[in-house]
Amino acid sequence: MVRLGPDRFIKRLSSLYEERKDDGTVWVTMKRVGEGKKQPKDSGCLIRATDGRKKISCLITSSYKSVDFEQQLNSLMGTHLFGIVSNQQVRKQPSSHKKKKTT
Amino acid sequence: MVYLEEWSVFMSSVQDMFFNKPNKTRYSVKYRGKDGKVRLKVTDDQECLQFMLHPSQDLEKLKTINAWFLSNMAGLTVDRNAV
Repeated sequence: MVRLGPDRFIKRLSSLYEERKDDGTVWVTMKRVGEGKKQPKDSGCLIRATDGRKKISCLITSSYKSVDFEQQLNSLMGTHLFGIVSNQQVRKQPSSHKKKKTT
Repeated sequence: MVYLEEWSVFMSSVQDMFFNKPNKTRYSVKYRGKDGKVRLKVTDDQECLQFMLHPSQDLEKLKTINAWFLSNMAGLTVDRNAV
Protein backbone atom coordinates (compact mmCIF):
# COMPACT_ATOMS: atom_id res chain seq x y z
CA MET A 1 0.00 0.00 0.00
CA VAL A 2 1.52 3.28 -1.11
CA ARG A 3 0.81 6.30 1.12
CA LEU A 4 0.55 9.47 -0.96
CA GLY A 5 -0.10 13.14 -0.44
CA PRO A 6 -3.55 14.48 -1.39
CA ASP A 7 -2.53 15.86 -4.79
CA ARG A 8 -0.62 12.77 -5.86
CA PHE A 9 -3.44 10.59 -4.60
CA ILE A 10 -5.91 12.41 -6.86
CA LYS A 11 -3.62 11.97 -9.85
CA ARG A 12 -3.06 8.27 -9.19
CA LEU A 13 -6.78 7.71 -8.62
CA SER A 14 -7.49 9.37 -11.95
CA SER A 15 -5.03 6.97 -13.57
CA LEU A 16 -6.74 4.02 -11.90
CA TYR A 17 -10.12 5.07 -13.28
CA GLU A 18 -8.64 5.58 -16.74
CA GLU A 19 -7.05 2.15 -16.78
CA ARG A 20 -10.26 0.44 -15.64
CA LYS A 21 -12.83 2.44 -17.60
CA ASP A 22 -13.60 -0.41 -20.02
CA ASP A 23 -13.02 -3.40 -17.80
CA GLY A 24 -12.28 -3.93 -14.15
CA THR A 25 -13.37 -2.34 -10.89
CA VAL A 26 -12.13 0.52 -8.73
CA TRP A 27 -12.91 0.73 -5.02
CA VAL A 28 -12.51 3.94 -2.99
CA THR A 29 -12.89 3.52 0.77
CA MET A 30 -12.98 6.10 3.55
CA LYS A 31 -12.42 5.28 7.20
CA ARG A 32 -11.82 7.32 10.31
CA VAL A 33 -8.54 6.64 12.09
CA GLY A 34 -7.02 8.01 15.23
CA GLU A 35 -8.54 6.27 18.22
CA GLY A 36 -8.28 2.79 19.58
CA LYS A 37 -5.70 0.47 21.04
CA LYS A 38 -3.09 1.30 18.47
CA GLN A 39 -2.43 5.03 18.33
CA PRO A 40 -1.14 6.14 14.95
CA LYS A 41 0.99 9.23 14.64
CA ASP A 42 -1.69 11.09 12.68
CA SER A 43 -5.44 11.00 13.00
CA GLY A 44 -8.06 11.86 10.42
CA CYS A 45 -9.75 10.32 7.42
CA LEU A 46 -7.89 7.49 5.72
CA ILE A 47 -8.83 7.17 2.05
CA ARG A 48 -7.83 4.03 0.19
CA ALA A 49 -8.21 3.17 -3.47
CA THR A 50 -7.54 -0.04 -5.34
CA ASP A 51 -8.31 -1.79 -8.60
CA GLY A 52 -7.59 -5.21 -7.15
CA ARG A 53 -3.90 -4.99 -8.01
CA LYS A 54 -2.56 -1.54 -7.18
CA LYS A 55 -3.29 0.00 -3.79
CA ILE A 56 -2.91 3.65 -2.83
CA SER A 57 -3.89 5.57 0.27
CA CYS A 58 -4.00 9.08 1.64
CA LEU A 59 -4.61 10.53 5.09
CA ILE A 60 -6.68 13.71 5.34
CA THR A 61 -6.19 15.32 8.74
CA SER A 62 -8.23 17.99 10.45
CA SER A 63 -5.46 20.53 9.90
CA TYR A 64 -5.57 20.03 6.13
CA LYS A 65 -8.06 22.04 4.10
CA SER A 66 -10.28 19.15 3.12
CA VAL A 67 -12.53 21.41 1.03
CA ASP A 68 -9.99 21.53 -1.82
CA PHE A 69 -9.49 17.79 -1.69
CA GLU A 70 -13.26 17.28 -1.64
CA GLN A 71 -13.71 19.44 -4.74
CA GLN A 72 -10.94 17.61 -6.58
CA LEU A 73 -12.38 14.24 -5.60
CA ASN A 74 -15.90 15.22 -6.68
CA SER A 75 -14.62 16.56 -9.98
CA LEU A 76 -12.63 13.40 -10.56
CA MET A 77 -15.54 11.10 -9.74
CA GLY A 78 -17.91 13.20 -11.81
CA THR A 79 -15.65 12.86 -14.82
CA HIS A 80 -14.84 9.17 -14.58
CA LEU A 81 -17.96 7.73 -12.96
CA PHE A 82 -20.61 9.87 -14.59
CA GLY A 83 -18.84 11.18 -17.68
CA ILE A 84 -19.43 14.79 -16.71
CA VAL A 85 -16.81 17.27 -17.88
CA SER A 86 -16.36 20.23 -15.51
CA ASN A 87 -15.91 22.90 -18.20
CA GLN A 88 -17.87 22.05 -21.26
CA GLN A 89 -17.32 24.17 -24.32
CA VAL A 90 -20.38 24.61 -26.45
CA ARG A 91 -19.46 24.40 -30.10
CA LYS A 92 -21.38 26.43 -32.54
CA GLN A 93 -22.81 24.22 -35.23
CA PRO A 94 -22.22 25.45 -38.76
CA SER A 95 -25.22 26.99 -40.39
CA SER A 96 -26.88 24.65 -42.87
CA HIS A 97 -29.01 27.34 -44.47
CA LYS A 98 -28.54 27.66 -48.21
CA LYS A 99 -29.25 30.81 -50.08
CA LYS A 100 -32.14 30.35 -52.46
CA LYS A 101 -31.53 31.49 -55.99
CA THR A 102 -34.14 33.92 -57.18
CA THR A 103 -34.83 34.12 -60.86
CA MET B 1 -26.70 -7.19 2.53
CA VAL B 2 -29.53 -4.84 1.66
CA TYR B 3 -29.85 -2.34 -1.19
CA LEU B 4 -31.89 0.62 -0.04
CA GLU B 5 -34.23 2.23 -2.54
CA GLU B 6 -34.80 5.64 -0.96
CA TRP B 7 -31.87 8.05 -0.76
CA SER B 8 -33.22 9.80 2.35
CA VAL B 9 -33.56 6.49 4.18
CA PHE B 10 -30.05 5.48 3.13
CA MET B 11 -28.52 8.78 4.34
CA SER B 12 -30.31 8.74 7.69
CA SER B 13 -29.31 5.09 8.27
CA VAL B 14 -25.73 5.89 7.33
CA GLN B 15 -25.61 8.84 9.70
CA ASP B 16 -27.05 6.75 12.53
CA MET B 17 -24.49 4.01 11.91
CA PHE B 18 -21.57 6.47 11.88
CA PHE B 19 -22.88 8.35 14.92
CA ASN B 20 -23.10 5.10 16.91
CA LYS B 21 -19.76 3.67 15.79
CA PRO B 22 -17.59 6.42 14.26
CA ASN B 23 -14.39 4.39 14.47
CA LYS B 24 -15.83 1.19 13.04
CA THR B 25 -17.85 2.62 10.17
CA ARG B 26 -16.29 2.70 6.72
CA TYR B 27 -17.67 4.01 3.45
CA SER B 28 -16.75 2.68 0.03
CA VAL B 29 -17.56 3.60 -3.56
CA LYS B 30 -17.30 0.76 -6.07
CA TYR B 31 -17.13 1.57 -9.76
CA ARG B 32 -17.38 -1.21 -12.32
CA GLY B 33 -15.99 -0.16 -15.66
CA LYS B 34 -17.71 -2.90 -17.60
CA ASP B 35 -21.20 -1.49 -17.17
CA GLY B 36 -20.48 1.82 -15.43
CA LYS B 37 -22.38 0.93 -12.27
CA VAL B 38 -21.60 2.82 -9.07
CA ARG B 39 -22.37 1.24 -5.71
CA LEU B 40 -22.17 2.95 -2.34
CA LYS B 41 -21.60 0.75 0.70
CA VAL B 42 -21.42 1.73 4.36
CA THR B 43 -20.72 -0.89 7.02
CA ASP B 44 -19.64 -1.21 10.64
CA ASP B 45 -18.73 -4.90 10.29
CA GLN B 46 -22.12 -5.88 11.68
CA GLU B 47 -24.61 -4.15 9.45
CA CYS B 48 -24.23 -3.26 5.77
CA LEU B 49 -26.07 -0.53 3.88
CA GLN B 50 -25.87 -0.31 0.11
CA PHE B 51 -27.20 2.08 -2.48
CA MET B 52 -26.90 1.87 -6.26
CA LEU B 53 -26.35 5.14 -8.09
CA HIS B 54 -27.79 5.71 -11.53
CA PRO B 55 -25.33 6.91 -14.19
CA SER B 56 -25.46 10.60 -15.12
CA GLN B 57 -28.16 11.34 -12.56
CA ASP B 58 -26.80 10.96 -9.07
CA LEU B 59 -23.60 13.01 -8.99
CA GLU B 60 -25.15 15.38 -6.43
CA LYS B 61 -25.90 12.47 -4.13
CA LEU B 62 -22.32 11.30 -4.38
CA LYS B 63 -21.06 14.81 -3.63
CA THR B 64 -23.34 15.04 -0.59
CA ILE B 65 -22.20 11.79 0.97
CA ASN B 66 -18.54 12.44 0.15
CA ALA B 67 -18.71 15.86 1.81
CA TRP B 68 -20.46 14.47 4.88
CA PHE B 69 -17.98 11.67 5.43
CA LEU B 70 -14.89 13.79 4.72
CA SER B 71 -15.97 16.49 7.16
CA ASN B 72 -16.88 14.01 9.90
CA MET B 73 -14.01 11.59 9.46
CA ALA B 74 -11.31 14.23 9.08
CA GLY B 75 -12.78 16.46 11.79
CA LEU B 76 -12.14 16.17 15.47
CA THR B 77 -15.79 15.71 16.41
CA VAL B 78 -18.76 13.93 14.91
CA ASP B 79 -21.48 16.24 13.62
CA ARG B 80 -24.64 14.75 12.21
CA ASN B 81 -25.47 17.93 10.34
CA ALA B 82 -21.98 18.65 8.98
CA VAL B 83 -21.84 19.10 5.24
